[in-house]
Amino acid sequence: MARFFKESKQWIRHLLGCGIFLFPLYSNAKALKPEQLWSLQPLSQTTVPKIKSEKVRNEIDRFIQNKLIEKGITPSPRAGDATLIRRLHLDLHGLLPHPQTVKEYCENKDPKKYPNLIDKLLANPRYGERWARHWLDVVRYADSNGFETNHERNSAYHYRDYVIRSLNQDKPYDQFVFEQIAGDTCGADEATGFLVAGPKDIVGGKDPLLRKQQRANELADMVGVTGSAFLGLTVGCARCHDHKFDPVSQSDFFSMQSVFEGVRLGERPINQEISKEKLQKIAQTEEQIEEIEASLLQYKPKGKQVPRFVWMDDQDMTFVSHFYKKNGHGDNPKGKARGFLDDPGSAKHSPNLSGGSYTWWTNKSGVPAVSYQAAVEGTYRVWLSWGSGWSTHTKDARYLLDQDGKIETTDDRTEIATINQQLLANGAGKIISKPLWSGLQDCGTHSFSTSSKILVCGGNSGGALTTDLIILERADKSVPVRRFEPKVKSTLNEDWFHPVTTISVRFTIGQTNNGIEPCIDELGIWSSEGERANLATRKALVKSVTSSGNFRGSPKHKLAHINDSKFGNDHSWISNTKNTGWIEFTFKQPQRIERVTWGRDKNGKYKDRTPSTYYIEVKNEKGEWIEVASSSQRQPTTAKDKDGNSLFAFEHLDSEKKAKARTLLDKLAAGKKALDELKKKPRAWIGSFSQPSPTRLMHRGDPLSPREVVSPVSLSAFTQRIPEYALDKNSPEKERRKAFAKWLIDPKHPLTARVMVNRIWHYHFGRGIVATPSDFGDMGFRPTHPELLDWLASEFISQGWSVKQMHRLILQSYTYQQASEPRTEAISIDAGTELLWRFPPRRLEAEAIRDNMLLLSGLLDEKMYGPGFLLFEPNANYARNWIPKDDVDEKDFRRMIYNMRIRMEQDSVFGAFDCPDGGQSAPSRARSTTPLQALNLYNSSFTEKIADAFSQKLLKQTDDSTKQALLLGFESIFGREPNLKESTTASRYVEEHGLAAYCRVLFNANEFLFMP
Amino acid sequence: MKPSRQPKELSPAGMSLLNRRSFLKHSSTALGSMALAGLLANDGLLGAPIRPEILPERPYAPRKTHFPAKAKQVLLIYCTGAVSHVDTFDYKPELYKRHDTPLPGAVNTFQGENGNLIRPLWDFHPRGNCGKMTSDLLPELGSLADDVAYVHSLTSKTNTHGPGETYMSTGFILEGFPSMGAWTSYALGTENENLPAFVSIPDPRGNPQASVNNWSNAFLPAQFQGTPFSASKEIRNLQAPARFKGKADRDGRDLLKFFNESHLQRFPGDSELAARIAGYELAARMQTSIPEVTDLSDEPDYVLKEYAADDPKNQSRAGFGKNCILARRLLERGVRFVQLFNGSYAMGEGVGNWDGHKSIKAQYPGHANILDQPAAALIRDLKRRGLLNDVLVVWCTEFGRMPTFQKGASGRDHNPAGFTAWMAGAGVNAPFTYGATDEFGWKAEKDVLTLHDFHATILHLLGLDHERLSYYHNGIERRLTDVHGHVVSDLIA
Repeated sequence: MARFFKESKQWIRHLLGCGIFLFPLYSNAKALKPEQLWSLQPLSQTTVPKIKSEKVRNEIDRFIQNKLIEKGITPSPRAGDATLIRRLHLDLHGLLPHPQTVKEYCENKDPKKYPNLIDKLLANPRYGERWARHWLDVVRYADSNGFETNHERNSAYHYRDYVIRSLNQDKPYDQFVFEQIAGDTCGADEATGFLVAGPKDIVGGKDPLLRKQQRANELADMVGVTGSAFLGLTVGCARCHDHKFDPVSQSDFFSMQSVFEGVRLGERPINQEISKEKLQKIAQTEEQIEEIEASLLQYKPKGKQVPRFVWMDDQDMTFVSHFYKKNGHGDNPKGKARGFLDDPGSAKHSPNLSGGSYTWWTNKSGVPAVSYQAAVEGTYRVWLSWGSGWSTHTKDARYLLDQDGKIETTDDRTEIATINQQLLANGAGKIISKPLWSGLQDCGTHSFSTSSKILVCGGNSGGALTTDLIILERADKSVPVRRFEPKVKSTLNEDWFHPVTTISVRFTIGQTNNGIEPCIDELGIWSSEGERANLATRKALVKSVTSSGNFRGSPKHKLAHINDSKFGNDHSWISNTKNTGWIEFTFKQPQRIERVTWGRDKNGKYKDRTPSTYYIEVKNEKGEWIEVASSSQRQPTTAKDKDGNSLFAFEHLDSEKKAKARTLLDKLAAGKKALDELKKKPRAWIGSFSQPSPTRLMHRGDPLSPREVVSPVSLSAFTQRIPEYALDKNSPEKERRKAFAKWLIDPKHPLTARVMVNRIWHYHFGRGIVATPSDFGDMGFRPTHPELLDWLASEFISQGWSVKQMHRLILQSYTYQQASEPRTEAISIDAGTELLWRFPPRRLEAEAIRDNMLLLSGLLDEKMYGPGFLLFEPNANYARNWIPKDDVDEKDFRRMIYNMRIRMEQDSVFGAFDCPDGGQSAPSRARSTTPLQALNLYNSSFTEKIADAFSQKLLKQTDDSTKQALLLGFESIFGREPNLKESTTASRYVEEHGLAAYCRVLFNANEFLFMP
Repeated sequence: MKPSRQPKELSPAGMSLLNRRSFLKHSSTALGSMALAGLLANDGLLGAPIRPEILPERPYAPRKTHFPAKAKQVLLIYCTGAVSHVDTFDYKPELYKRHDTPLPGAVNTFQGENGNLIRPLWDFHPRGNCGKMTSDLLPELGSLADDVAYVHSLTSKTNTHGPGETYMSTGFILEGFPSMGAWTSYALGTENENLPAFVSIPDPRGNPQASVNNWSNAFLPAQFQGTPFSASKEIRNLQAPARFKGKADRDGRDLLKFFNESHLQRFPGDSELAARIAGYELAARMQTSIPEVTDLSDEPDYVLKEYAADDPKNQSRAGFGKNCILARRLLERGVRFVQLFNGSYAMGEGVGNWDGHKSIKAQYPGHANILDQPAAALIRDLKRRGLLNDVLVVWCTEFGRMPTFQKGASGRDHNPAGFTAWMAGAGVNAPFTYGATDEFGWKAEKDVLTLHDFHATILHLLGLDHERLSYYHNGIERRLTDVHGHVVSDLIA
């Protein structure tokens, strides 16, 4: 006895040697050495015990019954067919079998019906939906951020779908593991949702300590969950100090952290195979665009209607397509200097026409970022502009004209210009580190077809490429433009042109801003010579002023006011026709002029009646009118409103046709935008990766106490057991995760296979061979059947890590097929059924209860995958206030795996059934019994609704025979016929209270809620 | 955790080790546990986890304490949003002298730069016989000074509200850990099995920012989660839907019992099945007991008036007053842990709770008006009815506020470096003041406490050893106090 005590005390000291966790006195106790921890030892080459028993179906039974024999317990009899089919359906699908299926199975005489049933169930996609839930528990998956803001993650479901698909495909487990750590390196992007499935505190604040702490917590979560999910090792316990029990040092923790150091919680574009529906939609949209373009063809300018100018802003999707994602915009600084926001321009350069900002892109050498398509035919002068002022911009941006507009063909490209984007147009200006508009640079004339595109390609230098306005000017005009003008203003406008000698000047109005008679308060015609004075007011020079017609009835408005040097409404001219009118000046002698000024009301009081479309002509020596300026050299009033100035000519149309044509133009822009959207890669909550700086060990886990640098190297406890990896502290981010993942799935790894087969066992029997599925360390349970665990792990690896094969093996064992009824003599030896002398019955999980209620009532929507449904009221408060929905409808009737899991919050009915809250990994669920479960399941409006639907379905199936309906209900839900007492008691109740009330009771019965 | 009939006195590791050595033939027999417990006591090796014995059919039955308790029940008054301690209970005369001068060593806090020190926005006066200085913002609560032990040296680990609230309630800034009330009901069960052991009463304006974290059971069995309801918002699904009410409901329960009992005959002695039958019976009793306790119609007018529950002008105040009365009624009926919230989630800066970044002078009187009279009335009433002999009252908030104004604003930023909470009632050493912040009220300086110490002390008053009240989860014996915490004996009478 003395020895017994002595030895025991050692063990107790040892087990209490958890230092600060349990007992400070023993804090000096050393953690186990790797060779002392059972789970780190190589898989043993176990011999299957030889036993004599008729109740053996495979090797599993030999291990189990061998132990039972030792303890003097006999196995239970095999369960009946009805129980087995129910058990298998609930276990593999989480859904009850149809009574007819049960009946057929029981009557089936095929000796292979049981294994056939297993195969059938495993091949059904309902299997993946059921088992994905188990894995999602382990990896703390949820569809919200957690913490007080708890914003929803609308794109997290891609990972959930990945898990379902992987299980249904029977993806080999080693591949499944690899993809979740490094799926971005092997075409399984969604898989890395695993890394970032944990909570994220988005309340940043301005306190640097807080932000460091938050980041440290994110990384610790990744390390902790990776360790427990795949290794069954509580690596997370070594964050502040070496692990108290297991051979995991603090340095191991941070070394593993360095593997994930470059992983950020958030979204990333997803490389997904484009679905058929989507491809179809793309083709449809492309077709629609072609159709619209075809119908617009009639408005393509012909002859004289060919536009003189085409304005193509880089943000106007009517002209522009993007090849990759822009980085952002450079906003021109306020001020009037060259290239600044309010640069007024000069006679020689245009005012700032950029709209106040340019777009910038990552410079990719030779790669096009943007294309401009004017869809005009003929020879055009190209005016380029870009963003300048920074030394980071490329010095040799290339502008190419692609004749056929097809990016694939490159032999039809000619270079228009190579531009130094650090400087202003024509190399003017200096690098002043401010985002400037370059101004327009004349890049010569080029020949265009309607399909031609101008491509802006990255240069060989610099980090940024910029884009801005491009203008095409028809080259066949005799008088080229010197300056492009901003939008029309009601106060005063200037129109500059190359100096020209003429005797007559005509100002013609085509449209006003509000559709009524146009008004002009003063029109000036300026000489290009001498004092460059306004000649219109020199009565001695002017022969006549005529107009198309004058507004009558007010002395304020007279033709004589047009050159009286007085401004404002009270001294103005108004035409007598809506929208249109003209004024013609004839001089006594030819004059050389360069500028016309005009306005509606220089005082700024009136803004109506302003000409928005106009042109200015001069008479040449031959007596022909030549256009020298027009509203089309002005920036369009809005980007979308081309008003026929450029791509299409609408001016000659009546208002109805014009409106129709404009609608088409809008549709074109919308169609192009939609196409871009469709072709864009979707983004998913699967994390983003960037190269991190070297990881440092943090003293006591405090992110403010950095110590030595640690590199990504394999955990020290496995040294010389399996192939190691040791990467440099600056090794590429992806290489780290790849190396770690490869190390995890090495067939010699003692933990990876053991942990997974134990999880599979755990979900089949309700308890693992190791009862702590995520802790194979010293604090965890020891395996009840260590040899069986090792045998299963070896099988798992040799069968190609096939999860479905493990299911088959376990389900085909006699052990699994035993009856579940308790036996007194066995209970007295093993009350917890740890030795599996029977199949341990257990309560269904929340998901299975809800799914089955929907299934029974005929309401279950079997739609798979995609965005989930929300069981809370939608909410936009910054700190989300999630209130459970009172009423549910069809869209909420999918399986619960598709329910958007809001971290910490619980569904109002089923949350009480031990649903994990997503805060921490949940390797096994509690199975508690609470009065709230009873209240929710008995009284909720959900139950009422479903009971009602169930009763109606039953009546329909039995031609309104209440008696038949209640029997069918009993059979559907319990999988057996009622005995006489049960049927008479039920009948009495139904007679008095109706079928729906009876269905409500059935949903609450233990026989429904327990897996037999 | 599947409820087990056998008490497990050892950690799983211990059990397993003993199994392996064939120390005990049957790992979970009572004999084994007794032998081991004896062994531990013999050697003075106390410190192993003490696992409460939870009967599946009576999960809320009262359970033994670790040692004699000073308090049997807890009332936790939780003011969310971070109450400014320098404007309420922590008197700092230096702030008057240094008003509008820079704070030496100022740093960037949650919202960024700080401006100058600002004197208390409400003047302080001595209260009670003890003369404790508290401010005019909360005069009624101040008047209880003779019964109160103030703690001025608390510190938090975070300066964001959600994690801060979570830390105060669970001992962790991360999510997924059991709350104080869940630990308490897990350890002790309750005195009235017809009511939940742990009730959380949300503010009439809404749930607090960390919401269910504050009453979560996390990895403890779901029986021990807090049940949230208030005087105005009853438990969901408490009553049968209208069409099933009355006889259909009662007969339905009988039919269910009949089904369940005939099913149980096939599984004799299965405690999980038996527990579900008991669960439905308890649910039925709660359908009567909860409406009874939330129905305040038998409270006389003078009580409503005392609690300001009849305030016709301010619904939030009247609502909070009614919640205070409800708290008293729950405590009278033996509920183990009552958590009473004053303050909800943020509905805009300084609205809904005690956050005050921008214009604290304008916002705080509104919050004080809701809190002061009803909460003070509750404590006086508990004392008058003799309940303070059993009930420990704890007043807390998630962290404090800076003694400065934020740069360019008229409010104070978050301050986890030092703040105030207080205790009253059973087992509390009062009147008393423990710990202190520096001369500005910024950082805790004297007898600095973590919330783990605060939690350890609360558990101690309940007769529980915070180092032995643990639950195995994912490789660790988890505790309310993580791996820290010291009982502050000065606070104990």
